[in-house]
Amino acid sequence: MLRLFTFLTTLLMATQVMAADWSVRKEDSKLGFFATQAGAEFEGAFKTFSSEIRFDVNDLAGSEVKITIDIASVDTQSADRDSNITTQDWFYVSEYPNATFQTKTITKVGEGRYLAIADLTMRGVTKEVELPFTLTIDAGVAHAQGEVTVSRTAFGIGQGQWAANTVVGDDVRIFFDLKADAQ
Amino acid sequence: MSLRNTKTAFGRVAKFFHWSMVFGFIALYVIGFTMTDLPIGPEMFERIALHKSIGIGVLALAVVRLIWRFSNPNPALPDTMAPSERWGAHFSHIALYTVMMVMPLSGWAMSSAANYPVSVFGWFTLPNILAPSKAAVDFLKEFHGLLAWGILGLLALHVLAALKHHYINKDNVLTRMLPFYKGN
Repeated sequence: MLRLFTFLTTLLMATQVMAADWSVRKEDSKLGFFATQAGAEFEGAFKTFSSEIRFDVNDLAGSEVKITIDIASVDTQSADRDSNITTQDWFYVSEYPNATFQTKTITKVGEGRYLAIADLTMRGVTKEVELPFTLTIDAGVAHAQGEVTVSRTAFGIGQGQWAANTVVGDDVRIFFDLKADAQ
Repeated sequence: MSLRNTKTAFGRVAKFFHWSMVFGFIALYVIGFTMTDLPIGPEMFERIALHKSIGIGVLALAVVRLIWRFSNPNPALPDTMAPSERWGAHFSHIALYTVMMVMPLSGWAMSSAANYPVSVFGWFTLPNILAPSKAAVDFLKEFHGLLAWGILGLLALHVLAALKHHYINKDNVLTRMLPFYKGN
């Protein structure tokens, strides 16, 4: 029993040593999206999100990223649209206040370029997404950028009269530009 | 009828500009006054998008039309008109050209300030000309709405003046702008 405990403790410590933890600099980071309305693309952002990042370029297997987004913090520079986005037809914030992004695997695809396979959960629906991103680490500060296009209707975002893509396009480009400090 | 204007007659191009503007204005007013009464939904957004597209079309036409206006002779007004009437005609035409540009620009600016960029018939998207601002949206909404009534007044004056020329003065000021009128 003691041996098992020692083993588990050692394993836990080993994982902690292998993958560094990162803390996102909120003021220098952006998590947002581009959606289209009546044929024109507009930009929006989520002002509040939290992250748990364990990332080590030398230990991608032990690396993991989890982002939790507070949907009600959406800002599309239009108060009308922001309040509409949180209603039942769209994100249904009263029922599903958060969206989450949880990586399953992260692989290196080139110099400073990676691919994350992750579960993206929005409005209670989970879909696997492939997110390519770039990453540079300089003096203990990581800078990651990436973008993934998702189908909003696959997540049930836009119900009823909004399910058709005539006015609000189905494709939404979710992007992030994050800066994080090594802990 | 030639393409260009002469000293006595409007050419095909000037007439095309005039009448396409008439249809543009009618469409803009009909859509503009009905779209805001719709409940928030896809149909409302489609109507607004159409209103914006036509409005940008009017703006583009107005610019080209003004260039055409300055690169062509302008048919003379009847000798029977008093100087005050000439000035009245001249200023109301300047006012019409001005609103043809100011009105669409205020709409474009409103869309920009609201971060609802303008897509022209889905062909291309215009850049935002104002940074997002609630205060700017509120001001421009009021401005656009009030100017709509101002323009209606101006158009009424324009039409009544044309009818006065036709029925009271009995000159050719109205008829020479008609699409298929060939006389002078």
